[in-house]
Amino acid sequence: MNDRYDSVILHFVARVVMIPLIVVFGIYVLLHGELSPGGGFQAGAIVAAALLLVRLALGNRQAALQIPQGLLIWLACIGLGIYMFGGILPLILGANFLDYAPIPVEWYNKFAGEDRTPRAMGILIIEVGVFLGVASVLVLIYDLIAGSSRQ
Amino acid sequence: MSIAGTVLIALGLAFMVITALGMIRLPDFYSRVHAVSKSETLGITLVLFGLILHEGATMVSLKIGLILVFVAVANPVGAHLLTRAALRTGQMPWRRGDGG
Repeated sequence: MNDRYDSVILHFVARVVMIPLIVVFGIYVLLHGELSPGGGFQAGAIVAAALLLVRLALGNRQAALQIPQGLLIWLACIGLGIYMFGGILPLILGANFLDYAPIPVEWYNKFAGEDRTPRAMGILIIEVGVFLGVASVLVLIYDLIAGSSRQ
Repeated sequence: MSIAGTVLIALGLAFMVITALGMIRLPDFYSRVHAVSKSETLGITLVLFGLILHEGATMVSLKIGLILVFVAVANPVGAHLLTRAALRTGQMPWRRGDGG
């Protein structure tokens, strides 16, 4: 934020209360995507809101230290890659594109102590990809429009 | 429990009506922000607390409590920033005889 309007109250609240809470809630929405209202896009929008709060409240310099613009582009590409991985993995295992049925989940269930079905696993992979893509592209759009790309 | 919750919700709605009245009736920016930040925070806090009393001790009321903390923190800070920015850009407070 502009030095003229800076406020220590805003810094404290944004840093200690708001941003951690928003990020935790975004990840909660992401991980409950296949069972309840929520999912990758919504979680990505929520986490993007937290990152934009960093940019608005704490200033572009700190935001650039936290996540620089080059890293945002990389994260968006990685998200797209995870989505494509989730789509092509069933193709390799002998089913249709994005047909999650043959995805192996026994190792994960043994590791995490859950009983997740292959379809829930596939949806989770897709949601993580969408989450990374949406969050980083939203922040990237803000950065390009607000002109902080020179930092 | 349910009656207490209903009473709290009604009280909160009354505070919100007072907030809307203040937005319309008060003369300048500072007094309007004053109306919004104080009584609206109290109103929404009372409404959410009434919903918690209706719900009982469940996961849903825990989530409502989180929303309550969130709003109770964010609303005053937003009002603080608005008035600060207005003061530093030279918005003058209303005085008697200014009209409006």
